[in-house]
Amino acid sequence: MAPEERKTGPFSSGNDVTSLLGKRPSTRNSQGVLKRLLIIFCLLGATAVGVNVKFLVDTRAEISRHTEMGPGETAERFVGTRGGGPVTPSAAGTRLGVLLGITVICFGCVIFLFLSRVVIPFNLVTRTARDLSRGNLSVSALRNPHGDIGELGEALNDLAANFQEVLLLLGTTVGSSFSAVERIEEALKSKSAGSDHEIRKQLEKIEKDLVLLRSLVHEFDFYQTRFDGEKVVSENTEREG
Amino acid sequence: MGMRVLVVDDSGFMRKRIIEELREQGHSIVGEARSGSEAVEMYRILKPDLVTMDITMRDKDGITAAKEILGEDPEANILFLTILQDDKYKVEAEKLGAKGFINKTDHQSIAKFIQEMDRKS
Repeated sequence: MAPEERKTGPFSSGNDVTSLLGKRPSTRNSQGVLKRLLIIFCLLGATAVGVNVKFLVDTRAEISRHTEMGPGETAERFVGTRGGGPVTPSAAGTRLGVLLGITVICFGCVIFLFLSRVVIPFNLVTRTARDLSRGNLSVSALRNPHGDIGELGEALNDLAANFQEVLLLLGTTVGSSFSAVERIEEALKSKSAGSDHEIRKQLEKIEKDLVLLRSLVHEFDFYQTRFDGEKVVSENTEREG
Repeated sequence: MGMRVLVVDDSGFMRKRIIEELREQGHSIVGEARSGSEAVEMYRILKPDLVTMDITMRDKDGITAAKEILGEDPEANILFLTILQDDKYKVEAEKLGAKGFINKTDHQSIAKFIQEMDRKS
């Protein structure tokens, strides 16, 4: 099938909808959350590295100063400088604590974002997909237009809607044909004057239903198989032949 | 002349069928919406001559969407196309001021109804 035709296939979403309502294409969406997480991680990482580097530079400067001063100096003089002056061990400890705090917050933020924006929605979508595959079409995946996994959820909802539509159509058509068959049977039993007309009318109804079902089936593309008239043939066999 | 139609249905395959049918009849499709919410938003932007509206949709159903559209524009032409054979929806659609309520598989009736509407307008 040509790419153009694929776009408008049974499971395609309305392009008009996404363009008019300003929604991004799904491929960009799926990459969005990872990009954002990466940016946040880089920013927080850069902050942590910056603080670390400053701390190391200060430490080296203080060590060299300490070495120049010799052993006679007080042990209270320790690493780092604050505002150009010497830093006490307690101040260095505070700085280390702040550094550790920033690092913990960095990783906490990244883990929280990853869990709330990726892991939890992904698990919900997976659960919905599993339910759908078991035939439970009443489930609905989360709809979150701002979330990236939400796009996947919408695609699943579209898939479920298509299946539901096909099955309901199948059910009503089969039901209508069954009632037509019953009327034909009744007409055959009664053998009244109008029974021929009734039988013809009901046969036309059945034919209409069958035409509808056939057109429905031909709407779809099948995996490695296709319809050749009334027969189902394998596309592989066709190619080999 | 042909009408400018907004097709609303949560099933992509059904939208495709309806669109093909309407295009064959010479109508132009100005947009397609997957839910009631999208339908309301798109109606505001596009102002179509006709909206074909499904009833059962996952986000916002067709009846609620039609209420909102008709609330904003009482002149809106809404045609319900559904598989539901429940009379209560038909009555509700009529009460709302929808132009029609047709089984979505009955292409002949849909074509006839829209032609008639086009001729009147």
